[in-house]
Amino acid sequence: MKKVTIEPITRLEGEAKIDIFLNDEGNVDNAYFQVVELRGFERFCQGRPVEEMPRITSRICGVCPAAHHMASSASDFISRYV
Amino acid sequence: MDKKIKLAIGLGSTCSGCDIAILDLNEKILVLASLAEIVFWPTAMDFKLSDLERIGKNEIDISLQHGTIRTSEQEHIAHLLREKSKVMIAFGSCSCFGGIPGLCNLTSREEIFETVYKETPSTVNPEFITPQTEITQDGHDLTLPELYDDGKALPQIVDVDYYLPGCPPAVELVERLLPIITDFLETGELPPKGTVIASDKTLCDECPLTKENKMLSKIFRPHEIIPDPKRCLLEQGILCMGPATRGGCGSRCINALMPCRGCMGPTAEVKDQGAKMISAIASILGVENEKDLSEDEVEKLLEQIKDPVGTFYRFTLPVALINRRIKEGSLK
Repeated sequence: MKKVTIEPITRLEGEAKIDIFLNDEGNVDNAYFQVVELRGFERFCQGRPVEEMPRITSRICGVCPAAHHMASSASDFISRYV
Repeated sequence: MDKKIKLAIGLGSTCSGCDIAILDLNEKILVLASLAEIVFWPTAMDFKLSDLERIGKNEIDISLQHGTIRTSEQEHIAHLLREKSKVMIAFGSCSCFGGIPGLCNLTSREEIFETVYKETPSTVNPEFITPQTEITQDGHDLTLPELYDDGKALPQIVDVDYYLPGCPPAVELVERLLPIITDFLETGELPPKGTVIASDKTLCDECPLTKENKMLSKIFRPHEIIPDPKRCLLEQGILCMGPATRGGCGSRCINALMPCRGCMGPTAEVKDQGAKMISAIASILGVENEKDLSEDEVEKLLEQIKDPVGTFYRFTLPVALINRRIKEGSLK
């Protein structure tokens, strides 16, 4: 059995690799997409003031910070007015 | 220019906003392309880890690394880049000081796994499966890098020559790399080791707002007050990290009337950015009638500061004098 590893997956934000296992005929037996990092925003945002979230969660992704900025602004709004 | 330097851009635990900051050179990216042959930059081009491993010792002229060091693989990349590079630059706040992912030092790997793979509302994981460094799945052996308990800044892992802070680094600071590369190509000369490619002054020294040397009696959270757009935010009671933070960022947050959160790190003479900020606040908060205040009243004043560690050490916790939450049992 042969293994082909693509490491890292490039031209995107986030770190991942793919392991492809080939059987004796050279066909794909199985392929695994693996995410090789974790930062833990879900945990370390706990205990931070809600109004700080837009400027913390925008660092989840520097390619699409606006999406995280807007989503956390909405959570800020909801927590205060609903 | 015919002669080019070899440039590598590696990453740790990062949002890749630093890569975007390099691309934000806009048309000057063409100048960079004329000065440098890029030999590793997986975020923007198709390089594999094996490409980096194949490069010989000191064959890379300048390498930039952004991101916090959180995993064994990121540490491996940092060591590879160091070994293969003549000059290594810590690029961005995560690399220079640990950055926002460094806030993981307020928690632990187990707690992060617990939250991410069990508690979050969108997670269904009854067997509580968490990342393992090695598993066998359907007869296939799979490996993952080890996630460390701590986040670390690049200089805590390898020897770093220069620092380019900012979250993300301001384009005008990234541009300053271009003449450094040109000088290196033409004369072989480089700035002194340890140079921080930013201002040597504090943000307050560059701040466009007016300081009136007023004392502080009440602290407002940013949403509790509409600030006067001409006056110092700190003197209006909004916690602003300006006094403890290096300038050079172009006062981006201040220009949007948002208080500084310290992404440029401390100035050269300051060892611990958070401690410097605490000292700055202590010299203006409630000092007018300090002598008449009881301990309880002082306590009340301080209680107005929500989340001191997350505010004063937002970007520098891993390099702080006290750089992580003390673990249960570690004092025994």
